[in-house]
Amino acid sequence: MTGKDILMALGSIDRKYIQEAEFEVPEKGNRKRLLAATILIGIVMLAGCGLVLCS
Amino acid sequence: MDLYWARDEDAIRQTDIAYGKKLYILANKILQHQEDAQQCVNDTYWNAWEMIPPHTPNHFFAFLAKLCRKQAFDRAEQVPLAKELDPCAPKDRTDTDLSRLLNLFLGSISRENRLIFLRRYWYLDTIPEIAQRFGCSEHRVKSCLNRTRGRLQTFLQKEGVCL
Repeated sequence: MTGKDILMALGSIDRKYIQEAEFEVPEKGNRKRLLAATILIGIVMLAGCGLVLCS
Repeated sequence: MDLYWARDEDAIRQTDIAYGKKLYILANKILQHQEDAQQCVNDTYWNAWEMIPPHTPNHFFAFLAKLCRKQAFDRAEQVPLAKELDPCAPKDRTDTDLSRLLNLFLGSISRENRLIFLRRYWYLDTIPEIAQRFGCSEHRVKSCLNRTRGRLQTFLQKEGVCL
């Protein structure tokens, strides 16, 4: 078999994958958004702790 | 779909309006020949007309694209892109078995990797086209494809396929 056989065998994969690849794109920046949210929560918590300690 | 079931020939025209351009692009990427690509698209419509009814595809575009892609590969003498997949090609295996394994493999990888892999090897998109579509660098697309091909090799070997 050769690479062409793989390309041809891909022709028989589940149609949901074909449809998915045609009409969808990966969600971008999810990791970045999650990281930013985590950092923000960390800062708020630190600030909160600081305020409690100062008072 | 109703038009096909009613045997209304307008079904072909409507299909052409909705999907003709996409199918032509797909066929032309495989064949690199405009007239042959258009002939492929026409044959696809004819096949769809013959198959519906009784067949009722859930994903109509995928159904048409599959037919079109098969037509194009049957006509194509060589596909340069195939070289990228040569290292993943089993030494001996039947097509049916390979398709089953590919289905399993696609279900086992991340959605993002699957989308990029299929844009490259199902729709035969170029690297710049994929990068533009997904809003990432060409380098990222190349490394993703490289990793996914490596995973495919490993997966096939684990399934007992001799590469």
